[in-house]
Amino acid sequence: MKDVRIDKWLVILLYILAYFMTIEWLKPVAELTDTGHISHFYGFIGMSLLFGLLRIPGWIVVPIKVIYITLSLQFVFRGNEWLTSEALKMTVSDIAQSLTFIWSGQWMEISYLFRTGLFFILLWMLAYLIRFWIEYRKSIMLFFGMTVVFLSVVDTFTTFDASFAILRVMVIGLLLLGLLFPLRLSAKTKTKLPIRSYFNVIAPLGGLLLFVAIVAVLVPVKEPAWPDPVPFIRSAAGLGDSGNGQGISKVGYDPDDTQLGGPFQPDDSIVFEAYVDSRQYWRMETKNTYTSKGWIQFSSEEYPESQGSFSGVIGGQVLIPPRQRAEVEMYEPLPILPYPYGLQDLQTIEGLLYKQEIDSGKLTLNSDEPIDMTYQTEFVPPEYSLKELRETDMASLDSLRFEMDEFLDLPDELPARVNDLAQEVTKSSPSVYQKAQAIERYFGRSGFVYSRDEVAVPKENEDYVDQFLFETKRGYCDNFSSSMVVMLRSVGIPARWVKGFAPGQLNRDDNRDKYYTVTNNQAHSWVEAYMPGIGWMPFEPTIGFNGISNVNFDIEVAKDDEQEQDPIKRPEKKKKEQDQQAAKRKNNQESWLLQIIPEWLRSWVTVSIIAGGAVVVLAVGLYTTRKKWLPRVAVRQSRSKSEGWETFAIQYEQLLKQLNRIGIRKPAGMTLSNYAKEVDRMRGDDIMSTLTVAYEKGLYGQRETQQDWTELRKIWEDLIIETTG
Amino acid sequence: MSHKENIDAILNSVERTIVGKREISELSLTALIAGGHVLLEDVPGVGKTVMVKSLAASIGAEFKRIQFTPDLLPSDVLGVSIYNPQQMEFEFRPGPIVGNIILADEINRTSPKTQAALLEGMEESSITIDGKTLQLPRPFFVMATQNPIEYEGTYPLPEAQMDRFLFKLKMGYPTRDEEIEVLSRSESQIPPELTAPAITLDDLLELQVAATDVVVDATVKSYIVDCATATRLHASVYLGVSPRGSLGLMKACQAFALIKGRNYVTPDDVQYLLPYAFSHRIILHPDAEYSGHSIETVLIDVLAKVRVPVIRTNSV
Repeated sequence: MKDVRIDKWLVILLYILAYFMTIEWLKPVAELTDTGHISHFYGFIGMSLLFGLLRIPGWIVVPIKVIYITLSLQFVFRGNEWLTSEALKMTVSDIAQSLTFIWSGQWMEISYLFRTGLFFILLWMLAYLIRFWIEYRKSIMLFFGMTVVFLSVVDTFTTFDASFAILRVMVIGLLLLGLLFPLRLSAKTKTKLPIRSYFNVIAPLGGLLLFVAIVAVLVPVKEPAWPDPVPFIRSAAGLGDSGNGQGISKVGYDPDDTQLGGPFQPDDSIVFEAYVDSRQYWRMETKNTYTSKGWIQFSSEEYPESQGSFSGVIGGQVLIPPRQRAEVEMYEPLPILPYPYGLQDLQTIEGLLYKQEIDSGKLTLNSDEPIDMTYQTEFVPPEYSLKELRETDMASLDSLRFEMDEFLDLPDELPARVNDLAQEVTKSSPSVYQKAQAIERYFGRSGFVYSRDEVAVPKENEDYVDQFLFETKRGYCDNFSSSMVVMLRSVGIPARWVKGFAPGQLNRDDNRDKYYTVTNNQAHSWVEAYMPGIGWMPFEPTIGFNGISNVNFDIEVAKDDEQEQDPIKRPEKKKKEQDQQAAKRKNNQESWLLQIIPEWLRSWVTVSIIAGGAVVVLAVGLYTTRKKWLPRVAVRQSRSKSEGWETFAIQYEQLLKQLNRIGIRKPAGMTLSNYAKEVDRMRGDDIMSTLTVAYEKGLYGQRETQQDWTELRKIWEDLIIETTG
Repeated sequence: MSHKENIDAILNSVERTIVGKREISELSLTALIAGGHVLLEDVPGVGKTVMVKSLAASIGAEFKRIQFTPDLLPSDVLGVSIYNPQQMEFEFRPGPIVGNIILADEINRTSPKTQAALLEGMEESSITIDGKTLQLPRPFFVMATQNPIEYEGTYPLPEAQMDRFLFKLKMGYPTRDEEIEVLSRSESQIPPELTAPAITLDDLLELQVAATDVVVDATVKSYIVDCATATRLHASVYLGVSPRGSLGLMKACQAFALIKGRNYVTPDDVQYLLPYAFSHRIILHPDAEYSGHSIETVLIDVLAKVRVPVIRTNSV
C-alpha cells in the first residue's frame, strides 16, 4: 500500500518535471514571435498533463479542451468581445474558411486564428506523447535529447539566449531519466521496488548532478579549439548575414574602412619592393574615429600640409641617429605612399613634390594620378627609452584630455563589457606604457585565433570590436588593432588606428643586397598609442606579427624583470634559477610535478592529443587483434620454460582463454572433457581431448604425473597456433 | 591394474546374465564398492531381481531376498530368539538380513516399523536384538525395490530413510533388440546363482579400500558442495540435499572413478552420478511440481548453473 502511494507521488513529480521541460519549448516561441499570450499555451499544456495524470476519460477531456481552445482563440483574436456569441460565429466561419483554403491548397490564406488553433492541437498531441513516454515507455530520453537540440539551435541561430534554459533542461532531464529508471526496472521485473531503491537511485543522481556542477564551475572554461562554425553555416546557408552585401573581399590596401569584417581572399601580387637594411613597418595613414563598424578619419579643421620636408609627428627619443635609406619600387599604383617610421626625407625620381597631412600622416604627391614609380626615403628609426616609458603615468594624460579628444572618443553604444575587459586587463599595470603593453599581449594569451576566412561581420546592432572580443575571437589584423585602440581609449590612453603594410618578405638580389618584397597579403593595420611626454608609439596586437617598437633597455630593472630585460645577466640568473628549481624539486617533488605536467601538456596540446590518440588507437588495435597475437606470444614464452606440470597447466589455461576469445565458449556447467569433445567435434580430431585428459590428470589428480610433456607441448602449440588463423 | 581387471570381470559376469543394462550394473557396482545401498524404483518384471542375483553371484556373495508384505514383522527381517527346550536356553535364529547382498523387494509395501528395522541395519551395518548387537557380514549391500509411489496400498518411505540409500535407480524397459535377446537367451539360460563367481569377497573388500584412496581434489570437493548448496537454494526446492548426500556423492564418485580405471575424481564423475545420488533426497515445492518442474529438471538446472572448476585454485 505504501509502495503504491510512493509510485503515485513519483508519477506526479515526473509530470511536473515534464511540464517544466515542455515550457522550455514555449519560452523561445514567446520571445521570438512576440506573442503576448503565451500563458494560454502554458495553461493548456498544464491542463493536458493534469488530465493525463488523473486519467480522465476522453469524453470529458475532449470537450473541455475544445472549449478552452475556442475561448483562448477568441480572447486573443477578438479582444473585448471574446465571450459573445458573435465572436463564436466569427470563429466558426473563420475555421470553415481556412479549411476550404486548405482544401484548395491556398496555404498562405489561412488565418492567424486557425494557425494558432493548429498550434494548440500540436501541443495537445505533445501532451499525449509525454504521457506515453512517462507511463508506457518509461523513458524520456528522446524528448530530453530533442529539447537540448532545439534549445541549442535556437540559441545559436536566433537572438534567444538559451544558456540558462539549457542548464535547467539538463537538470530536469537528468532528474527525469533517473526517476524513470526504477519505474522501468520495476515494470520489467514485474516487482514493486521498495522505497529504499528510489533513494538508492536518487541519492547518486543528486550526487552526480552536484559533482558535475562543481566540476563545471571549477574547471577553467577552455575556448573551443575549432573555429566558431556559425558564421560559416550562415553564409553557406545564404542567411545573408553580411548585411552590407559584400561577399569575400580581396586583401590589399583599401581606403574605405567604414565596414570592417568578413573573410579575405589572399592575394600575393607584389605591391612594392623596398631596398632597406632592416625590417620596417610601412605606414600609410591613421584614422581617428571608430564607428562601431569600422574607421573613418574625421577632422574638424583643414589639415596643414607640409611640403618638402617631414615634420616629426612620430615620437620617440632618438639616442643614436643612424640615418637609414629605403628605396621603394612601386609595382602597383597606390593613392598614398607607404613610408617607414622616422621618415626624414623623401626624394622621387621624377622630382615630384609631396605633401603630408599632419593628422592622418597621409603622404601624397602633388599629382592626381595614382603613384607608380620609385622613390627614396631617408629615415631615423625611432627608439624609445624604457626608463621614460616606465615613468609615463596616467595623471599626466589628464592635462592632455582636451587636446587628445579625438583619440579618446568612443561610440556611445559601445557595450560596457569592452570597457570592463580593458580595465581588468590593465589594472595591475602602473604606467601608461605597461597598460598598453598589457592590452597588446592580451590577445596572444586569451585564445584568440588569427584567420582571414570565416571572419564574422557585425550585424546591425552589434559592435565590431565587441563581437570580436567576446563572440568570435577570430579575425585578422583589423580586428586586433581596432580592438586594441578601443580598449586603450576605454582606459583613457589616446590611441589611433594605423594602416599600411607589414615589413614583407626578405630577399637578396644579385648583388647580395637586402630587399623586402611587399605583397597585397602584407596589407596591415596596427596601433599607435600616445605616451605622455614621449609621443606616439606603435604597438602590434595582431598575433603572429612581430612588434615594431624599438625599446632601449636603459634602466636598472627590478629583480623580477631581470630575465626579460637584461640579456647580459641572463646566464648567471639562469643558473641561480636552476639551482632554485632543483632545490624546490627536492623539497616537494610532487607539487612540482603537478605544476609542470599540466604546463607541459598545455604547451604540447597538439602533440599530446596526437600521442594520446595514437596510444588509444594502438591499444584498441592490440586489444581487438589479441586473439591473433597472444597465442604466439604464449608459445614463445612457454618455450623458454622447463617442461612439467606447471608449465603445461599454464599452457592449457591459455588455450582455454584463447578458445573463449575466438568464440568457442564453455558454459559454466560444462566439464572440461565434454568441452574438449565439443572442440574436437568442430575440428575433426582428438587433440583437445588428449590435452584435456592430461590436464585433468594433473588438476584433479593432484599429482605430479609422469606424462610426455614434450609431445603435449607439441600438440598444444599446433592447436593454439591453429586458432589464430 | 588388478583392480580394473577385477571390476571388468564382475561387469562381464553380470552381463552374461543380464541383457544390456550396463549402466545399471555399473551403478550398482559403484554403490557396492562405495559401501552404499541402492533403491530401485520400477514396475515389476524388468529384471531387478536378476540384476541383484547376478551381481551377488559374480562376487560369490551370499544372496538373501526379503519379500516385503504389509503383515511382515521386524523379527521376520532381523531374526528371532527361540527357546530351545533341549539346551534350556534361548537360541538366536538370524533373519534374512544377515547376509552379504540383500534384495528387499517392494519395500514400500510393508509397515514403517519393519522398514525401519531394515534401514537401521543398513545404516549401522549391525543389528541389535534382545540387547545383543550382531555385526552384519561385510560387504553388506541392500538393493531395495519399490513400486512407483502412485500405486495403491503403499507406505512411502520417509525422507530420513530415503536418505540412507546412496542411489535411486530406474531400470527402465529394455530396448526392442535387447528384449528379443532376453527371449532367446531364456531358452538356454543357466540361473544366475549358479554362475561361477568372478572374484572373491576379499577382492571386493580390497576394492572398497582402494576406492577410498581415489584422490578427490579440493576443487572437486568444492564443486560437489556447490552443487549440493545449489539444490538447497533452488527456488523450486522445498528440501535440498543433506550433507550426507554430498558425502555419499563423493564416495560414489571415488568408486566410480575406480571402476573407470582412474585414481582421481573428475567433475564428469560428479555430473554423471549426481542425478542418481541426489534425486531421492530432494523434495520440491508443491506448486513447483504443478507448474511443470520435476526433480530431473531441477538437477539439470543445477548442473548447468554451477561453475565447473577448470583452473588450478592457486592461479586466478
